[in-house]
Formats: sequence, C-alpha cells, structure tokens
Amino acid sequence: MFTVTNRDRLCAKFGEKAMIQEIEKIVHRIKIKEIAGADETALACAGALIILARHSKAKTLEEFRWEAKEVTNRLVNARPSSSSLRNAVSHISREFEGSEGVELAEMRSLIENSASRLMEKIDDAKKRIAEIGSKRIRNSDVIFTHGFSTTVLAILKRVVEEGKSVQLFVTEARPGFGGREMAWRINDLGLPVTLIADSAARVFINGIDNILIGAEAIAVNGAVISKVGTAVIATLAHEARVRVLVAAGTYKFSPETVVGELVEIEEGDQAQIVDLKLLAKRENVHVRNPMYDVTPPQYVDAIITERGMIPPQGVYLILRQIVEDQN
Amino acid sequence: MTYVLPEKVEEIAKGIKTMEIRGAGKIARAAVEALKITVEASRAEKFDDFMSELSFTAKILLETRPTAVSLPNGIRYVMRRLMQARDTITNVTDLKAYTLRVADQFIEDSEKAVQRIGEIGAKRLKDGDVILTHCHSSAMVEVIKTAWEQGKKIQVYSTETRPRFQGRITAKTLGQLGIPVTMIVDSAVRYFMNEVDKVIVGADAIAANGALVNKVGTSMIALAAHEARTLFFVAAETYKFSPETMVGELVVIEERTSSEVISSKQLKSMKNVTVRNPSFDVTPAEYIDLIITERGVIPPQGAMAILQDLYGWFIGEKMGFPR
Repeated sequence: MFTVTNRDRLCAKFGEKAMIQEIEKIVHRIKIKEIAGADETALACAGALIILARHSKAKTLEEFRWEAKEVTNRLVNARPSSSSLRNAVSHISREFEGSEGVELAEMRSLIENSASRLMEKIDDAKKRIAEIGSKRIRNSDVIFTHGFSTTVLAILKRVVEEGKSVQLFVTEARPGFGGREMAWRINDLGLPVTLIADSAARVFINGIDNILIGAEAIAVNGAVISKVGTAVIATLAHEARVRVLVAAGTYKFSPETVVGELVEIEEGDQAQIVDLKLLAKRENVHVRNPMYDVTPPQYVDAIITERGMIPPQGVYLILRQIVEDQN
Repeated sequence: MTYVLPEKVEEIAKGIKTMEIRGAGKIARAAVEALKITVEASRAEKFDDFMSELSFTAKILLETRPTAVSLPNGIRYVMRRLMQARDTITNVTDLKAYTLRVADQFIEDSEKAVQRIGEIGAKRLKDGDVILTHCHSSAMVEVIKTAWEQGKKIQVYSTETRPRFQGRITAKTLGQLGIPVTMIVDSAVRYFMNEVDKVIVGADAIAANGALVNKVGTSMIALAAHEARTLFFVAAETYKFSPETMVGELVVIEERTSSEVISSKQLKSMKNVTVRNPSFDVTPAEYIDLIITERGVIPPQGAMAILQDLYGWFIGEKMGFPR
C-alpha cells in the first residue's frame, strides 16, 4: 500500500508536488470509481505512468524503477480486485519490468512508449471492433445490451453510420444504473431504445436477435467477466437460443487466470444498494454487492476483438500469440 | 336507481391500485372487505338492487389490478355463494347477513391459509439451509419464519426486487425475526446460486399448466436455480390458482408506469427512449419443484387438480356445461 511514509519519500524523490498530486488525482478518481469502465481505467493508468515518465526527478535508474513500481502499486491498489485495472497496469509494466542494462533516459521512454502504445491499442481496437462487430448486426435487428460499454457504443455508432436501423433493449443495470447512461447515449445516436429493469430480461428475450455486451476482462478459458447480471442474461439467452456476442479488445484478455472462474470479483459499496443509516439499524441485514460476474464460455457465441471474431475457446490461442509476439 | 360507492370502498380500490395494499392475500381480503362494506351500507330492499350494488363494487375492484388473481377469486367466492343462496334465502336482510358471514369465512380462511402454508412449508426446510427469496410474499415469509421458530438455523439471500424494491420489506421482516439476511441486487442471483439450497417465492397467480405468474425476475431466478440444480419452491394459497386459464384464457401481464424505472422528466428529454415495465413474468412449470399450498404440497402438474376441486363449477359454467 501507498503509506504516508511512502508518500513523503516519493515527494522528496520527485521534489515535485504538482506531479504527485496529478497522479494522486488519477488514483483517487479510479478509487471512487469516477473512472470505472475497463478502457477508461486503462487509459487513466497509462496517463499516470506517462506523467511519471516525463516529470520524474529521479537521478538513477534504481530510483526511477522504484518510483514506477510505487505508482503501479498505487494504481492497482486503488481497486485491488479489479481485473481490468490489473490487466492494464501489467500490460504497461510488462515492458519495462524485465529490461536490464538500460540507461535512465531509455527507461523513461520505455515506460512512456509502453503507456502510449496501450492508449493507441485501445483506440485502434475500438475502431476495428466497431468494424467487425457492425458486420454481425443486420438491418432491423433487435439488440439487447446490459451495463455501460463504450465498445458496444462504438459498434452501434458504426451500425448507424452504415445506414442500418436497429432497435435496442437496455437494462438499467443496478446497482449503479449504468444502463441509463447507456440508453441516453444510444438515444443520442438516434436509435430507438427501450429501457427495462434487469429482472425483465427474460420477458423480452424472445424478441431479441443478438445480445451484445462489453467486458471487464476475459479469462483464458473464454469466461467473460462483465457487469453483474451478464451471466444470468447469457443463461437465459442460451435457454431462448439467442446469440450472445461479447465485444472486447484483446488487452482485456487476462493471462493471470489459468482457470477463469478463479478471477476475484470486486464488491462495490453497500450504499449503492441500501441506505447505510437504515442498514445500521438492522443488525441481521447484510449487503453483498458483487460488481461483476462470470459468464461461462459455453453461453458465449463469439468474442469480437480487434484481431477478429473468435469463439471463447480461441482466447487461449490469442493470448499465446500475444505472449509469443512479445518475446 | 343511482348508486353511490361507499367512501371506504373507494379508499380500498385506490389502495389496491396504488399498491398501498399489496400481496395477493391482502388484496383478496381487502376486496372481500369492500364487499362487506357495500353490504353494510346497502339500503336495497330488492334482491336485484342488492346484487347490482355488489356487482358495481365488484366491477370497480376488478378494474384496479387486472392481473391479481386472488382478487376475482375472493369476489367470486362471495358472489357465487350469494347466487346459490338466492333460492333458499328470500329475505334480503337475511341474505345480507349471510353474505357477511360468507365474506368473514373467506377472510378467516385466507388468513389461516398463510399460517397453514407456513407449517407445511417449514417441513421442507432443513437446519442450515440457505434460502433465496425474491420480492415480498406473506406466504413465503411465513414458511421461513415457521422454520426459524422451529429452531432451524436458516440464512436468507433477499433480492432488492426492482423496480419497487419490495425485497427490502422481506429483508426487514426476516431481519427483525433475527434471521440473518443478505440483500443483493436482482442481477446477482446467479452469482450466489451455488450457495443456495432452496429458492422460495410467493405467487401472484398459478395457471392450469402449473406455470407461475409472479414478480418480474422470478422466471430468471427459476432458470438460474434450474441450471444450478437448486430446488425452487412456490408458496401459494389456493386462491392464487387461476380458473380462467383452464378455459384457455391467458394471464395478462400488467405493465406499470415508466416512472418506476426512470423519472418522467428525464425520460421526456430522451425522445428515442421508451420504457417497458412488466410487473410479472411467467415461470414455466418445469423449473418448479414444488408448490406449497394450504392443502398440502403439490407438483406444478397438480394445479389442474386444485382448480377442478375448487372451481370446477366455474370451469363448467364457462364451458357451458349444465350445473
């Protein structure tokens, strides 16, 4: 953890309070989930490391390494069980952690390049996913989505640009009501959208052509970690034989997880579900608030990535390719 | 003859409509209570006048919640007996007294039904069971409460039940009894399903084929339970069984106002956004392990037998069979 002592040490090292404050601000915004989506979080992490690379006052490579480690730890610990956060940070740090025999200046640009590359990768991936995903959407399709996803929005935008008219069903996505924001954005794209309670998904499933959702992370077995409720929607889509498409860049693939189901699921604030004052009065009532759930690969028809549309079983192959490319 | 609806009847009708009066049992009892009030306020001296007063009240009540099965069943219980008594009780005053007795009988039986379901259902719960509930139901609460009072250490997951958050009532009620309750969002049911031994829900209506009409989200939970091979129980008084479905009628799924899902102001500013807000959904019989009624436990396939026993006359009448 980033302790007070650590902070003082960082301040002294950097000799630049403004920079620390900048990084702190990013960490804080991730912590309070003001920055929450997988992509937004990754972009913010990359931003924090670029700030460090440019402004660090470190005089030796060792000092700089220590600082970089401190910042990455700080970022990861903002939401210790967020898979997307861990993914993003390890994505960037993978490139500099192993590097030996480099000069300080080289190290700075290594980190900056690595962070910029992730930013570009996210941007490019989104464009490519939009192109590929849009091909799978036919004119007059009825699409169902759950939770807020910028990747899904990118696909829908592309669908509109291609002149296809589709109709959306969007869940409100308790507890954060991310689905409302999603509905407003779809409204702005000019597509007709129907907002429903999460529980009503099964009522409308028979009229749906495709389920299209984003992801927080994807495990090596193709299991999808996404907004809580996704798994039950995928289950009922499977029951109704409705296709489930997941839109996710390969940077969301999580190499840490040998068995997908072992991904730790972060819990959100209790206050999202009940008034804490009321809760305090009821000693026998507790709250559990898992933010995500795990959709088993057998309920996923395809994952739309920037490398193409793949079956969930293909995640392992892509991950292997990525590791090979790096070596 | 002009007939003015008693004020209290109007209050009850409003209470049912606004869901201040909720839960099928309470709705049925309130409706029968409204019939009682109508009888007590009646100045009718002729049978036909008396009947039209009652029918008027019945009509107003039936319109409040078109999908609440207990409501017509409660009204039918009273009206049917009144029609049958017409041949033997010719004096309108006596008939009024008889109607009040019948109404009281229904109210008493219905109150006892919940208690009886509690006793029967509790036998199905074991010490250490983890239960998942959805929405609020007196019968469901009674089953858990009775088992708890028998000393069975039970733990409950209670969904918040959007859009109206009735699950909070369940959590509060069970919590006050000392039962450990964990509140979760509706979407999290599958996440916890593997920890759950039994799902128990109430019922708004049960169709002749054993399909359950209940608070929206129930069918999703039943599916998740089925997938995880978790037992799925329904606690339902027999007045929840819908005789209409025996004659082919579909149970109407009521849609409620969009403001339960999103504020009207916000919705107005988004011209492409509409809201669908079904109150109920239909859980197919194959996802239901057991229906706990005050007459005992039945498989969903037993719904037909219950309907024939209780409302056979109605079905015959609707099909045009001689009585």
